[in-house]
Amino acid sequence: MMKNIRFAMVMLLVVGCIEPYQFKITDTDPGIVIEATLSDKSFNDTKSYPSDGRYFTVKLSKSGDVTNVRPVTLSYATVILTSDQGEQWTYTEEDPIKKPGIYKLFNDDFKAAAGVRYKLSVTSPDDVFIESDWQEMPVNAPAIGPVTFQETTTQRIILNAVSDVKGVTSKLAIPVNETGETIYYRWKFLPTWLYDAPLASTTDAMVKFCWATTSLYLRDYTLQADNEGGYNKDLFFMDVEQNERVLHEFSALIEQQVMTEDYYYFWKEMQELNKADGVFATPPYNLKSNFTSSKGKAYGYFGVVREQGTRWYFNRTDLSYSIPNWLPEQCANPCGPGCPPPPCYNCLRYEGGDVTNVRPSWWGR
Amino acid sequence: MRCFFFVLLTCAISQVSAQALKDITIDQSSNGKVLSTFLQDLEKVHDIDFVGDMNRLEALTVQGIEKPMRLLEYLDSFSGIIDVVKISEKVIVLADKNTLKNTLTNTKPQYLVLSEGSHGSITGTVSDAHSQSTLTGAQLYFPVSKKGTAADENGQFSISTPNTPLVVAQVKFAGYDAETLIIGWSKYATETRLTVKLFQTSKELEGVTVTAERINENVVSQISGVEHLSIETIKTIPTFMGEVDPIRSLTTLPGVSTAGELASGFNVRGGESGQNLVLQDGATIYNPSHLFGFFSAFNPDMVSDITLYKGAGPASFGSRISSVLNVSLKKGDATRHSVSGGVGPVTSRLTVQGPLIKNKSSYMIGGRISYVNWLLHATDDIRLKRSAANFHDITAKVLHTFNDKNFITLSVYNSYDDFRLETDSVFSWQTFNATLKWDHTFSDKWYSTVAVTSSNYRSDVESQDEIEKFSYYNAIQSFGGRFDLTYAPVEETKFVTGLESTMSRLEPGKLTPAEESHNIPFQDMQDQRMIESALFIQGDAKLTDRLSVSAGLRYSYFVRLGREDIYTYDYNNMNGRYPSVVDTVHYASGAVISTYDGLEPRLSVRFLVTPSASMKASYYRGYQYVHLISNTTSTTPQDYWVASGPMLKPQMGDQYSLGYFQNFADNLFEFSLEGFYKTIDNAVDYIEGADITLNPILEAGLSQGKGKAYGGELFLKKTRGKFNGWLSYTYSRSLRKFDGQEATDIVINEGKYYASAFDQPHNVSLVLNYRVGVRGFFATNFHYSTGRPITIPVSKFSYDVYLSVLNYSQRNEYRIPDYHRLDISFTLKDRPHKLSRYRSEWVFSVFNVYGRKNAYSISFDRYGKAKKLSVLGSVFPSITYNFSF
Repeated sequence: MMKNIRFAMVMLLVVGCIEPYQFKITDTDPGIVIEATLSDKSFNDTKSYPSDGRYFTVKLSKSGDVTNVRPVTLSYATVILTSDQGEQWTYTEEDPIKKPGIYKLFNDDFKAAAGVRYKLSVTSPDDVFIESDWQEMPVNAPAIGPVTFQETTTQRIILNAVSDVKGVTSKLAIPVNETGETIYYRWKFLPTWLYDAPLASTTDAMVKFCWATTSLYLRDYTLQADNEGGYNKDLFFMDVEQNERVLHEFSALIEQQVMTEDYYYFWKEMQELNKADGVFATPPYNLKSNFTSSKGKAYGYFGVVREQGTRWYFNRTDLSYSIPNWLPEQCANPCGPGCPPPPCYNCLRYEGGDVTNVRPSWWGR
Repeated sequence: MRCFFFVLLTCAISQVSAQALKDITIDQSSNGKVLSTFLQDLEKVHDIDFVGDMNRLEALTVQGIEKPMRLLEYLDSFSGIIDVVKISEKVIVLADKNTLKNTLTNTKPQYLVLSEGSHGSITGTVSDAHSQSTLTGAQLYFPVSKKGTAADENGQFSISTPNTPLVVAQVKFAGYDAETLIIGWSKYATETRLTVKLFQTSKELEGVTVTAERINENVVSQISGVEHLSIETIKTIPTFMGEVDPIRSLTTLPGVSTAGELASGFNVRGGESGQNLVLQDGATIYNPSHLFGFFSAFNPDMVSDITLYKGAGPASFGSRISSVLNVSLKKGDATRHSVSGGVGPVTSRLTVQGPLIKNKSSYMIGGRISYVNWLLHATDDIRLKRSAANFHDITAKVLHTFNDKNFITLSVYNSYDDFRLETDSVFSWQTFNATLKWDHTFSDKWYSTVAVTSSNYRSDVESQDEIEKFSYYNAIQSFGGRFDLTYAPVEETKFVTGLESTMSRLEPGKLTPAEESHNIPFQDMQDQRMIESALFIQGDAKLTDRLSVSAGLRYSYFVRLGREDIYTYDYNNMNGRYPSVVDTVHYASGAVISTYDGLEPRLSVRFLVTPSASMKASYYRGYQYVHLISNTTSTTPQDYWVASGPMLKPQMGDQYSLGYFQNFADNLFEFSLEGFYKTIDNAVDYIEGADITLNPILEAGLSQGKGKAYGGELFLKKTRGKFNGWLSYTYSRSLRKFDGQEATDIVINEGKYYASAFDQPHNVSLVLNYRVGVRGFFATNFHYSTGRPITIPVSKFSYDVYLSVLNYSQRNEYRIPDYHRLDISFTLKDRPHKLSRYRSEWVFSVFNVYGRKNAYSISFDRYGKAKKLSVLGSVFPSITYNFSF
């Protein structure tokens, strides 16, 4: 009894109590969120990275209250890109039903031109007019350097114990910066890998080999403000043990953006705000926006960047040490009802990303 | 031959005059004489002195002497109308009972006779009869003339006396039995000073009053905005876990509020925690808290009294613009050893004092220690097993008296805290202070103090994270000296002049990764060095019976010195939210980087409307050359100090106040209403998105603007009786404005005034005490305050790879929930034994009686959902046993 009383007293004293709390928010009007980047690479240019190619995209949504889980998209808006040369291009909403709020500029050859300023305007269905500042791509953009990797080890807490995790850190050679100006880099990654369903027959190519692509793996971007260059920049870490993505061929499309200083800090602050850093947390603040709205608030930033891309391939056989293919053994292990899992015998059932059994045209080193 | 007779005569007279009072006899020949004349004749013949108002005896004649009898025996026959008290073999006091009866209390008076030279103005000391420690704030009051004074921090007082042969004086101090003195003067007396010893209350808790000063101190004091608490008063307020907390006691008074639940930082009239100067025996306490604010840094057994100046205070104080909290430590007993202490559920304390050289030197050393850990580790909860909380402190004071005009004191304070709460980081902080002081008295009117102080504070974070192991610390070290010269020619007139200088070295932050940790970069903000000096003069004078003035002028000078690299910024070329660094200037060691100076006038005027009512007005200006940088509202150990410099200007505060003070029913009730208006130039706040920890260009992340605070303070108190207490209500606003008027200033909240983090419009405290019998004492404390401002996420959106990007309100646009709490306590003292030195008491207290879950902090997850942390969200009963012998 005494023990329980003592425990309760200490619990109250030291742990206190944490409970949800809800503020009465007075300003509940949603703002319009605009994600838009323009670059000097057209749809056709990006295919040469190699990739499937991408059209310039504007994503429109609305801000929601903090209790709302899902973002609300904004459909049926008018999205227009204007240049200081008087030209205009209109974005088209790809599919208001299946992909609401995604607007694309379906022009295979259009790209931003050097020395030209652009601005983006959005008119919502309820006639809210939002317009960005004029934006221009940076003057200098060195060529994207070669990507290499380094075998590295990091530490993670697994089952309440600290474990060493073997992996590779991809590195990008940053060219020497002789411009005398700071170059603001952002790299984003889109991984694709070959998935081999271990229990599928080698003769059944339709379900044996698939290519999975997802933006949810290696999802964070990497930033660097460079004044000197001449070094290798760490892009991302990828573990190689117990990672089915690297059992066969792995590829990452590395897209390099060179941008204005303001756009760079927009991305940097967004990244910092999403880092959990209790002890040295920065006081809260709002991201800057270069949009102005005729009514209500507008969030986001329209940027014009110089873009380059390259594709990096990796195979576990590239390592100096051996990583066994553990997946066949795992699929062969008896594990009760529902076993083996469907991805073991049908690659199209693999859920690690968007899966296709059609080999990408650009696949292979 | 003539010479021979002369010698014989002289010898004969000498023999007569050497006759002791008890040997003087009178006979029937005296019958019929007027008593006063008869006594005066005796004085001449026997070289004795009858002290008293002889005019009162003129109506009496000598009669009834039938045979030779002793003089004392005969005088006793007048005992029905005259108090006859033999003071010495030459001095006897005759006091007319009829005259005295209106001024005497129930207590038996003490008769004291001082040297004739001290008639007109007396000085003296009030001390504890047991411990001999002086009683700062003890009041000496002349009920006939309705004049009084209070003992200073050394227990000494000086006051002019009425021009009567005998004076009745009352001496009171909270927690002690009052004494009534009948004071006379005689040429045969040798004592020039009054020495009063008070016994701790044994019959009744007479002194449960807010102030331990003159009965009408609130009305007649010259300086406005002063709160004075004796430790006895502080002990009457209900405590958390039985631990007496002087700072929390202060927050029951108007104009003083807490920075957060149980935060030992405090806010005065809308000021920041970092704008309070906290002194303990002259040394600066940079973090006045233990266990993240659960307990205050001051050992209640060692504290004599506490004075809070709401504003810059007298000119002898400086370097902070909101308040001065002056904590005085007791002096040890120079006559005998004694022990006192207390045992509580999570802390205990012990204080020992005694003579080093009897009647010349004394020591007093006290310590406190917490023992929460054994409780934590005795549980089965893995989280608690991984948690730890410790603190201990030691306070010591040594006094050596060279003679009645010279004494020195050495005070040392050392404290250590560490705290780990379900994290891999251990937070620790420590303070080491020392003060060496020499008090010298030139004469009754001139005295001086020379002091050297050292104040050191360091805060550490040790991350035990296996992946990101690091150690971090920030620190400040100060060494200073000061000289005060005081001239007090007459009562209520005093001039103080002096100078002080303090050298400081500030380490804003240094992070060192563990050798095996590659994920944390090494970061070290540059050390800062500064010297702050001041000259001051302060004069308190009574201009007329009604009008008195307290005026002061302080000249402060600040210099920041190398070695340091100073950056030059281009605000037209921003790097994100920071201005670009366009140049770096290296200053060698000792090179002057920048200087600031300023005149700081202080003025307080009191006008007595009636003997029991006064109006007071004041104006204070102060400069503050160091700034406390914090990314939280409450004071935390990770807050750090930075010095003014080329980019960061000193803060300047101007405060105006006007108040009306009135006492009723013979000072049974006190009432005051005081308004204030305060402006702050160069108030510091951080810019949007600034990283203010370990930022080598920190000043670029800070902005300076204007601040203002205003409000009214209402105070109503019942000062004595079985049922007493006080009610204080404060309405105040504390606002900031950063409108970017200068190129280096950043606009915040569109350049409009916004609530500072310490803006609490409504603040109510109710303290009620009730005496139960002769040993019991019941106390309650209720507190209410408006929730403090907070910046919260008001909406969110998804963007690129992030599902949730939070969109925050304007700065401090919302408020956390209002705060209120009720505490009660019951103190049961042991049965009084006048002859026993052992004193003890049980204190039963309940903190947060109705279990209100007040918000300690409100945090937000990455999706913007708010979580309220209530650290003390439950009822906390505790029992504490205090003792002394």
